[in-house]
Formats: sequence, C-alpha cells, structure tokens
Amino acid sequence: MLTLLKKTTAATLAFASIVLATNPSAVAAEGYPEKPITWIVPDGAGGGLDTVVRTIYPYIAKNLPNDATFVLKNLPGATQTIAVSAVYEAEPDGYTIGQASVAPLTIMPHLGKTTYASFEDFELIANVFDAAHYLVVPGDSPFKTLEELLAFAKENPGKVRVGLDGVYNVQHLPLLSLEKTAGVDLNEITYKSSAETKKALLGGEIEAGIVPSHIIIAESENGSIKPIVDVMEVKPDYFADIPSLKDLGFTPSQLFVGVIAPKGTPQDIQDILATAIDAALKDPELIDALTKRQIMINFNDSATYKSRMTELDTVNKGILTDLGILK
Amino acid sequence: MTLKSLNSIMSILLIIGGISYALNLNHSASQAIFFSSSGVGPVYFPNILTGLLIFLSLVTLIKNLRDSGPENMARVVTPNLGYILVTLALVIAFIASWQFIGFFYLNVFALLTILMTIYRIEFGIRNSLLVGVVTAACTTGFLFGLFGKILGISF
Amino acid sequence: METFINDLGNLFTITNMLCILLGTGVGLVFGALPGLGTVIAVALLLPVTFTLPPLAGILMLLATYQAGEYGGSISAILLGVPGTPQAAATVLDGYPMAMNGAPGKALSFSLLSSSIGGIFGGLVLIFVSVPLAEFALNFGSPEYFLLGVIGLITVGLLSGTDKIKSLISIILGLMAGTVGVDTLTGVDRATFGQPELMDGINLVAFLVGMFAVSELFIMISKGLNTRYISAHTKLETRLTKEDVKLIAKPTLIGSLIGAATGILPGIGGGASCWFAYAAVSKMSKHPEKFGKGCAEGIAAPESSNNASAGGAMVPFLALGIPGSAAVAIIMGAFIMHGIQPGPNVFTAERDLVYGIFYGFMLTTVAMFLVGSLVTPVFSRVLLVPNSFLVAIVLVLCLIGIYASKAAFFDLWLALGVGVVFYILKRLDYSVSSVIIAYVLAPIIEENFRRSLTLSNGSYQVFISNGYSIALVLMILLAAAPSIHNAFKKRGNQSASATAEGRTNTAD
Repeated sequence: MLTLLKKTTAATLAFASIVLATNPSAVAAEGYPEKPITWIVPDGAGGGLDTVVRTIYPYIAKNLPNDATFVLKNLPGATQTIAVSAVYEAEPDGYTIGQASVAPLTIMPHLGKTTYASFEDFELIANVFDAAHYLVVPGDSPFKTLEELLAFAKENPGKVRVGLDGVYNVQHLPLLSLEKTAGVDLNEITYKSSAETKKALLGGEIEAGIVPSHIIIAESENGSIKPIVDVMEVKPDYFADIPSLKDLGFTPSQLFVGVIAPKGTPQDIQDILATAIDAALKDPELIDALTKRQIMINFNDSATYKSRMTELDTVNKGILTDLGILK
Repeated sequence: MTLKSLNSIMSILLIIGGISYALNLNHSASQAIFFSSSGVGPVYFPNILTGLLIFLSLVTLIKNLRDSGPENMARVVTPNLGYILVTLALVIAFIASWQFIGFFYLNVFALLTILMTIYRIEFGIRNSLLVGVVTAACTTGFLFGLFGKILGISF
Repeated sequence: METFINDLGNLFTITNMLCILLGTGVGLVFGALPGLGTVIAVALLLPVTFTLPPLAGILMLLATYQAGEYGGSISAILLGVPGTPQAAATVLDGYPMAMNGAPGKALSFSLLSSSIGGIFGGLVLIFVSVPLAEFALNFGSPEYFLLGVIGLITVGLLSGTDKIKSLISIILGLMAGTVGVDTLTGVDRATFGQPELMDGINLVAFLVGMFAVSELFIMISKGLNTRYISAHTKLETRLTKEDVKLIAKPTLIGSLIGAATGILPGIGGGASCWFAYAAVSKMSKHPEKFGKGCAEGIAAPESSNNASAGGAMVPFLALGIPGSAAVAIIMGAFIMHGIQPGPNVFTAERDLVYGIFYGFMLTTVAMFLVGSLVTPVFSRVLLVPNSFLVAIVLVLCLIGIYASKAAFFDLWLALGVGVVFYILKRLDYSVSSVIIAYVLAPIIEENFRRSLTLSNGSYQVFISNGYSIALVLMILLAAAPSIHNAFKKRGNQSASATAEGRTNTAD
C-alpha cells in the first residue's frame, strides 16, 4: 500500500514537472489575477493561525486589482511543513501563495524533515505579524527575574522544570541556547500545547514555562502567572516593561508570520501582492480587528522579511550545530 | 478458503506488520541524537508492544493450527463477495481519479451512478441506470450546494 | 432577581434564538454525517460568528457543539457507523437495537439521555465552574497516566469472546496510537517517511475506516435490495414510563463521568463515552444484555458526551484552558471579539458569561426540540434499500475524511484500515478495543514519560499525593475481579483434576 502511494506520488511529481517544463511561467502581471488565488493555510479550520488569515484575506482581496478573490486551503500538520511543501510544489504563476511561520522555514529544513532545502526555495512576499513568547513563572514563585532563576538553576542542576509546547521549535531552541550561554541545566518538560503548559504552571507541576503572551494576559493581571522575560525580539504593549532576552544580553529568537510564494513567481506579481498586503494592514478596520485579538501587526517588505529570515536562520543553525544535531 | 487458513493468514500478516513497525521505528529513532532525561525513550513502549503483538499472534497462530474442529474447518462464506470487490475497485478508482485528475463532483456523480446501477442490476439495466443517474444527480447536486456553495469547501 | 430578569432579557432576543436554531441544525447534520463531526461543524461556523454580537455567535457555536454530540449517535444507531468519535460506544448497543426493529426508540433513548447529559453539564457549568476548574488543576501528568490505565483496564474487561484476540486488538490500538512524531523527543515513530503521519494516524480516517468501510461491506453482504425495516409501525419513537425509568441510572452515571472527563483538558469526549459505557455495564445487574441492544448501553455514552460538552467549558471559562478540541475553536470566537477567557472574565464580562450559562441550557432545549422533530425522519433511513444507502454513505464518508485535513493520504489509509478490519472483525478481533486503546495510548504513554521527566526518573511520582494514591487503589480495584476470576478458574480446574484423580484411584 505504502509503496504504491510512493510510486503514485512520484508519478504526480513527474507529471507536474512535465507541465512546468512545457508551460514556462511567462505570466504577465497585466490582468492579474484572472482567477481565484489559492492561499494555503498551515492550520486546521478554526485554529489560531487560520482565524488570523480568515480575518485578513478579505482586506487583501479588496486591495488587489481585477476583483481578486481568494480560495483558502487548509493543510494542517507536521509543524506547518505539509502546507509549506505544497507551496513549494505549486506552480509559480502567482495563483498559489501560502502563510508560514518561521519554524517550517528556518528549523525543519535543518532537521532534514522537508522536501525543500531552506527558506531560499521560496519567494518571501511580506511579513504580516509578529508574536511574543514569554518565560513565565507561577505567581507564588520565588523567582522575580531571570537572573534569580538562572542563579538558582546553576546551584541546582536539573531542578528547575520548564514547560514547552514541543521540541526543536521556536520555544525550545532559544531555551537550549540560553542554557548553554548561561551555563545552566534546566529540565525541559514537553507538553502538547501551550494551554497544557499553562495548566501545568497553574497546577504547580513545573517551576517555569514558555507560553505565547496573549494567553496569559488575564493571569498576569490577577497575579497568578508572572512573565519574567520575553524570548522573542518584539514586545506587545501590555508587557512593554518586561525585559527581553536581548535586553539582558542573550540571543533572542524571533517569531514572525508572513506570506510566501513558490520560487520563480514573477516579480511584478510579487510586488502587486506585497502592495496589497501593505495597504490591507493599514486599513483601520483590519487594524482594529487584529488589535482586539492581540495580534501584533508588523508589515515588512520583501527585503526586510528576507533579511530577518536570514538572520534567524543563522541563529537557529548555530544552536543546532552547537547541540551536535547538525553537522 | 477455510476459516482456519484465513485466521492463519491474518496472524502472519499481523506478525509481519509488527516487525515492519518495529524496524521503521528503531531505524528513525537510531538517527535521533537528543533524548530526554527520563530514561524511558521513544522506542521503549513501542518495542514492548511489538514483542507482545508478535508473541500473542504466534500463540493465536499455533492455537489455530491445532484446532481442526468443524467450525474452524468450515469454508468462509461471504454473500455478495463479487459486489464487495467491485465496490472496492470502484472506490480505489474514484480516489485515484479525484487525487490525480480532479473534477471532484464529476467523479462523485460517476461513482454513485455506477454503484447504484450495479447494485440494482436485478431490476434490469434500463431501470437501474435511470434510477442510478437520477439519484446520483440529486445527491451530487445536494453535495455541491452544501459544500461547494454554502460552506465554500473546495475539493 | 432583577439581574436575573435582565440576564434573561439579554438572552431571549430574536438573533440569539435564530442563532441557536441554526447552530443546532448544522450540528445535527454534521454530527450525523460520518467523518465530519463536531469539530468541523464548529470550525465552519466560526467565521460566521465574526459578524454577530458576541453572545449570539458563541451560543450558535455551543448549540452546534451540543447538537453534534447527539447527531453522532444518529448514524451510529442507524448504520453502525459513528458520526463522531464521541459516539463510537453508542454503536455497541444502538445498532443492534435498531436492527432488532426499534430504530425509532433507540434514537429517542439517545436524544433523551443526550439532553439530560447536556442539562447536567450546564448545571455543573453554572454552579461549580470555579471550584471544579481549580480542583482539576490538581490532576497533573501522573494522575492523567493513572486515569488512562484505568480506562485501558475497564476496556480489557469489556472485551469479547476470545481473550487473546481482544488483547491483540488492544495492542494494535496502542501501537496505532504511538505512530507519529514523539512529543517528548521529536523522533519520528513508524511514520514510514509520510509527512501525513507525523501528527499521528488521523483519528477520523482511522475511525471511519474501521467502522464505516467495514460496515458497508457487511451491508452489501446482507443483501442489496432488501430493507431492514418494512413496516412503518416499527418506527415508533415514543418512550414509555418504564423506558424512562430504565435509563435513569445509566444516564446519571454517564452524565457524571462525562462532566468529569470534560473538566480535565486533554482527555476528550472520545474517551469519556467508553468510560461511561464500561462503568454502566459493570454496575448493571444484567451485564450480559450489553452489546445486544439494551437501552442502558445507549444512555450511558450519549449522556456522557453531552455532559462533557458542558464540562469542557468549565476550565475554559474559569482558566482560559479549553477542555476539548471543539472548545478550543469556540475560544476563537471569544478572542475575535477581544474577550479574554480566564479568571477575570466573570467580572469583566459578567453579562456575557451569564448569557452563556443560561444560553447553554437553552441550546440543550433546542437540541431536544429539534431532535424530536427530526428523529422520526431520520429513523426512516432504514426504509431505504441498501443499494442506495451503501453508495451514498460511502461518498459521504470519503468527503468527511477529506474535509478534516484535505489529505488524500487519509482516504487511502481509511480504505486500507477498512479492508483489514473487515477481515479482523469476522475473525472475532474486537474493533472497540482497538479504538479505545488508540485514544488512550498517547494519554498513557506521554504522561508516563512526562511524569518520569518531572521527577527525574523517580517512580514515587505516581503515589505522591492523595489523588494519585486514590487512582492507584482504583486500578487495583478494577483489576481485582479479573485476577480473582483467573485464580478461581485455575482453582476449579485443579479441584476437578483431583476429583478425577480420586475417581481413578477408586477404580
């Protein structure tokens, strides 16, 4: 059964490449788009990222010429790599774009779990928003700052248990890097989701955890969970006075989500899309809708998006090499 | 085929499945470098399970081979086996055609028409074909309305 | 009193009523269609709620959730194909009852117990959310592991005629549950290089393959142009007083178990229906009737899955931790309106929270009313000859599988699983053991390993507090009867052996 499947996939790939070869993508931007644009969403219907895309896409369509429409296609799973692979395999004619976070582009390729080699196999159209993840402790924790936590961990190797929502992801890598730089040994505890990490924190199962900022706003107000350091670079307004890893002299991570397209998508179509995204993200109605949801809009044009990606890729590669995972 | 041979084949298949599961599992795990500190790694339980599966399947196999009672020696009778095999073949063709060619609703219509025509062939080809086409058209239309139009799911 | 009247004023608006009705309708249909299920129904309605006022939108989703939990039992009872994973246990008794000529009654049993379960869940939500949510926090990884083990043992006790084959079925389910990237180490386990398997075997594909595909083959064997039921009189849906009395106790037990599992995030309705079924069949005075179409076997799982809907809202409203996959999506509707569920929501969004409380009751009522209207219609499904049923259900199943993840791999998987389990079923392997073991495998394994990581390898973590000790005692209690039986058998054998020996010597 499985070999049969492999063969059939190989056959489609061969078929697709024939189509590609006979149809050199010389699509003019004139009249673009002539048909609905497929937007591949790396999340199940109703998931966090899916609802963000569903909020944004009508505004982008509004700012595209020729009454453009989008068809959303949900391809969840495998740390977004299923969706990103689908973008990779799509025809670069401007009628397939995708949404991607940083993990499938700057971490998964290094682990050898993807069909594409790196983020350079894609056209990076524009960044849309950033997210912040915080290292947090329960309200009754003896640690008030990162220094205190690290000092205790240095004396007591393996005693401080830190909850994460997976391994080799945007939470795990910066933590491993922090441990190495600070010379401490923390006990990483993996949960299935950030909601489970939060439950473990409130239940006193772990001493600290890394969670997205927006799920602990209420808890930080009533004091049951205290954020002590921002693991990412960008800070949300409501936690503006809490230091970030960078402020404290450690290597931060970054978490930003943008729009990508298959390599070879005509430059003028890329520009049309980027302009539409920029205009959409300036629409007060959309800004209001996203701010309500605690989404930090952060438009980056293609060049900035690419340079941030390159920087993060180098950092992640360095961490994985240090750990001996990457040779 | 007798029940006995079917039982034996299934036991052997389960053992083969268990072995390939274990081989694939231990192969990919051997390439991983980093393990958690608990001491119970990712292959600990799966390997125990594989061991148990193989052992219990062997027990079933041996028990079955020694059982030559009339019940176990009886032939396996599957009424309408032909229909089952035809259905299976059509479903395989349907999924393959949907996956590699597309045209989901056309495929649905074709599958439904063929299935219902074959299933009702005893009423005569004209009658069954007519009923098949009409029912398939109504069902496909309903599906298109619900999924394609109202819910906006693209297949 | 005045605030209460105010609350009701907020609740009984035309928008809210229409939204609840719409949600109920969608939930019923999606629940009944195999493969689609509650989560997809809620996810598809979520974008609609963005344009609605918060309360109306959230009530619509809750109505969908509730009705979907009942809807799943419709196809489970009529076709032997669970519409949702949470209705898998309903097949065991619902399907035989329908086949024995009482499909209408079977559906009514399901509807009544679902509604009572829903009301029970609602009451739990209204009166004890905050203390219960805080209580649930005491259940950490070791306790989840122990709960999973209890589940596995009770299923072991449920199992059918051939003990060894039931055991093999459990092991197969556990093995299927380990497929995918290991959460704790990131190692691929038995994925055979398929990215679609990295998140594990898709539950919907597995379930539909196992129940639906194999059941359709069986239906073909039964005859394509025969009808299950020819007389309309058998479609009677009315329940007598005795009927209601009969399901009172199992419904109460089911509701309790459902609410309890709902409150614990990560256990899920897929497991709660089996817990309820196992508990009720163990406590019953006539356990031999289970599996042959008895009303208690429908009432227990059906009340539990609706009670778990209310239960799953408890940790969500009180702590901001969704108790089930459907509630995680409902959370999207909250966030979309800028509402942060969690400790402050009771004060900051008082009107909304109380609107949800009373509205939740209303969704149950709507489910009961709409359900009563459509049940007679649905029970007529069995008047349709197999030649139509098989073809249409087959297509619906394939759509259902594809809709959940848009992966063709899942379709092939379901087909393969269906063929294999069609044969395994005929050889007395237990399908229900496979599915419950599959659902429990990650709960057991991940929490076991996580507990040991938490304790740096010490096994004391499993008896470190009152809750875990109580659970260990429950495991021993649950296992005791079967161990006792095993010894008794051996004792009897040796006794009869010596008796034989004596007669021999007498000769």
